[in-house]
Amino acid sequence: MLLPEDLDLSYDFDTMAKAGSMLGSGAIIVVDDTNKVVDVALKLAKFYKHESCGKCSPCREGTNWTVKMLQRIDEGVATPMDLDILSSVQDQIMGNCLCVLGDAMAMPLSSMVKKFRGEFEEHIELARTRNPYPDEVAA
Amino acid sequence: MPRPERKTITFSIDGREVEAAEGTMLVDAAKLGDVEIPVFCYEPKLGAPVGACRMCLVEIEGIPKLQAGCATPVKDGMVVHTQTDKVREAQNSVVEFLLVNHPLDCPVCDKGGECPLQDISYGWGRGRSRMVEPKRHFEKPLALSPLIAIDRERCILCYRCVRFSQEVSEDYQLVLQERGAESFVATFDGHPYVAPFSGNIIELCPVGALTSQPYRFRARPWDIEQSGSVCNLCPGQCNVSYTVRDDRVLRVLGRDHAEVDDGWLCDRGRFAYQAMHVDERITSPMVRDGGVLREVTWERALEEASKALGRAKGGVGAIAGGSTTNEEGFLLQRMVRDALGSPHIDSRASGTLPVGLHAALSAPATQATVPDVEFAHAVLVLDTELVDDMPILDLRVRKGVRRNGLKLAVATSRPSSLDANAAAVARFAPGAGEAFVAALDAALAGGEVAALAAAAGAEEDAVRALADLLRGAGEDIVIVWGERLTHGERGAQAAQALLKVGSRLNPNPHPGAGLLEVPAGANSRGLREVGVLPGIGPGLTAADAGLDTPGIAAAAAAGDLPALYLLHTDPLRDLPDRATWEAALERASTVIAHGAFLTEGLRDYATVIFPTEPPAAKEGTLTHTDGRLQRMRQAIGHPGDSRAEWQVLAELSRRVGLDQQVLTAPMVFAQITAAVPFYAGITLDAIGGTGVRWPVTDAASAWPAGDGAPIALDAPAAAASPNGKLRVGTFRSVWAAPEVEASPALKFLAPKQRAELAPADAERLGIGHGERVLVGGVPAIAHLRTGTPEGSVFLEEGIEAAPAAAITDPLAEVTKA
Ligand code: SF4
Ligand code: SF4
Ligand code: FES
Repeated sequence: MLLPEDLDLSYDFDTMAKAGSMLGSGAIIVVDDTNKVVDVALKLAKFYKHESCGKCSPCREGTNWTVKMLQRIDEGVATPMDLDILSSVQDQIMGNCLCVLGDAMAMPLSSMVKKFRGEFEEHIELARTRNPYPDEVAA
Repeated sequence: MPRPERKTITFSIDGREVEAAEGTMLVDAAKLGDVEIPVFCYEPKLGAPVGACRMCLVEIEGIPKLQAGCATPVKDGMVVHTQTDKVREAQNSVVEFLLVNHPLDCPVCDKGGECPLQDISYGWGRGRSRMVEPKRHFEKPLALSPLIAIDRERCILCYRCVRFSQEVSEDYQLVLQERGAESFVATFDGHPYVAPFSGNIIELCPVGALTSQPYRFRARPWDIEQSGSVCNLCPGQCNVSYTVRDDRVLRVLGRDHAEVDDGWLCDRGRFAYQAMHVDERITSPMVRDGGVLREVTWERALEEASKALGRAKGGVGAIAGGSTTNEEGFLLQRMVRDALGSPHIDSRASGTLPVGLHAALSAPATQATVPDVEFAHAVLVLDTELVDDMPILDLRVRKGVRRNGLKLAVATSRPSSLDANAAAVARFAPGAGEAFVAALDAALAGGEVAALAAAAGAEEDAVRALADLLRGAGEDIVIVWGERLTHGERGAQAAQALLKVGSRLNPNPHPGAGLLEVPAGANSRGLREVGVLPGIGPGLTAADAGLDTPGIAAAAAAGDLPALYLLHTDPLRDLPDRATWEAALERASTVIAHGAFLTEGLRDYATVIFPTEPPAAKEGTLTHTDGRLQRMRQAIGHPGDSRAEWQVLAELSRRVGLDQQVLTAPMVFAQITAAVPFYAGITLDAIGGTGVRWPVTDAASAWPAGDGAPIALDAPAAAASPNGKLRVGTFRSVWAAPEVEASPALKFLAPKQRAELAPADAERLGIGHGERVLVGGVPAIAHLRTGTPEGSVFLEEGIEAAPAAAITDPLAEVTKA
């Protein structure tokens, strides 16, 4: 994920990789600041979970677990500690899969958590206050 | 395709220099340096690696990303690390991912204690869980089949079971439904997974997702012992390991032998162990007393038997069934020949071959081995349905075609389950094997084919296509031929035709090519070699001429043989020509049988019955059809009052006047190796757990010279022309066996008589699929099967309620019942 200050970078594989993004197929998604980062992350993770073929375990289980974690964050059943697990799971996916589909989720998600940690934490706090049972994970 | 030659290379792993064959996958090569790389999805028996689970990630210098060790062939100079932080981190990660959806079932899971997932989590995992979300849920356990339970929550989606079904047994039933994290294992149509090799997936599953219904909750790994032996239910002689608890066999596992079974078992071999412990099993000697069979003491039974044999003396006819060990066969033939002075002993179902033909058909120089089937340029499957007659070899043929570019030719009467894999298929009329092989010989020689093909009831073009395929394939040609080809009155002529085709296809005998017989019984080859044939003694030496099996039946029916000795065979179940056998059993005043179950011949006619010990209680040797001597080892004690049968035979022999000087089974084996020159020097220790192929020992030079292939063949017998009736062919299904009927878990597979008809014939006769019919008086259910040659009907052998052996004419009328 790139921030407004990164907009001046040149659009090639190496530069993008250095900036912590990935050129992939070359598509760019522009997200404006009216969106909540948690929504963007969840939408992205759901997309990859749905696209995962399920053959290799890091991608199959990693995308699936990531969605579950983000849903918890969204619903107010999480603590800021979960953000560490979330990013560690992204690290565990990256580079370990059979193809790059898993990486394509892990890269942006991990930079989202890094670059918008504050917004994530804020969301967690707010959502917890709205949730009458903030410590119970629904079975 | 011949075995690839691979050069040896050196690579380094965790600082050790290791030598391995080039192209070996890293996980296997690592073992050579005592380095273990954990795996889940990798199983070389299943073919090319899929690299799915990612458990085997390793670091290779010069490659930035971690690589799957199971899918990376080792190269010269490669430098591999499995102990770096990066690798450990990846291993921890994969274990964690696999446990994301895996339930905490270990305390109630059959796999617990022998579970790769437990072991690898312990050895390569972080040891703590960070996952608090709900796991996925399925209804569990479900019956994937009556034999296999599936627990989808435990499945780690390693693909092994699906790959087995798709790429090894090729029954194409198992698939992964859905996608991604929603994937689950199921049959494609939701029907139960019933297939001849289904049980292998239980052993393949690295977790407790697939468990054996009959074994579920019967034992824990710390309650049991494993004991190696050999399956004696068919000529495959797969290496098995019995799971024993409290002197009972609770499970049968494969004991991988790459040159025998390739690590698989059929479901009969895997589940029929139940028949060892059922109440119906005969476990004490019985004597017919006032017309009723009663359990008696050993003393009484041995006394009755020895008195009756003593009275009959030269008038004893003895037949050994295919599961008889070499030791039992050897003791039997000595007792019958030397103590009772009767030459009438046989182990073949129908007809004799001169010793020179036996010698030629199994000659070491032209003896193909089981692995040769996989690596030949072409294989001809002749007059045998492997999945029924020697199931495990069916998998080997499929493997050759799928993985090694083997060209397959199939020539049978009944449509074969291998037809779909074959590059050429020919059909001939039931019983016309001789004419067919003669036609094939003519086609190979470029001679006149039409008349011979017509005599065989085969299509000339099909014969020619088969010949072209075999001739053009390459120099390694294996003929896998069914013993039934050489049965009957013209068996010798058929054998000669076979030898001639064999020498045409392999003019220069060399390893990797030749003949491989599919015998009718599990140890048929061994029985022939230890002298259980009329006129042929141990080591294929000459013995006094005697009656063969049909001769024994006819003589007994005529009142000329007062005593019959049936070692592991019920003629009414196992042998053709039922009417004569009924008369023979009725007329003989003494019928001594060794049996496990009271099948009808024993129930109605036996005068003395000795219990057949369960296979897991047996000690003895078997000779595999490619010449491998294998050992059956005793895993359990003798149930009830039963005794070792070699001991029974030795004792009986002593009582009729011949002390065979044996106190243990190994002493019998020592006598065998002394009497059979081509077994000379082979010891039980050398046979050990993997067997010894005698054709490659020095003693093989003592094998007698066989009859050469004849210059000209006899005019073959022509197939009967149907003339309004249908030609009757028979086959024996893998499930037509008393131990299948007796095993509660397998019972549902015991066949009912069905008449396989070509749809066109059925239409002409006005018979619909599933209707009741009579075939020459035998009741059956009509089974319309496309591919069945018109003019033929096929019945199953070995079905007590509707015996195909009741039909002796080659033609029969098929009518609605
Ligand atoms: S059921 Fe067992 S063998 Fe089949 S995919 Fe699941 S874990 Fe693998
Ligand atoms: S293929 Fe034959 S030897 Fe192998 S397990 Fe089955 S019955 Fe036993
Ligand atoms: S064992 Fe290598 S990826 Fe599964």
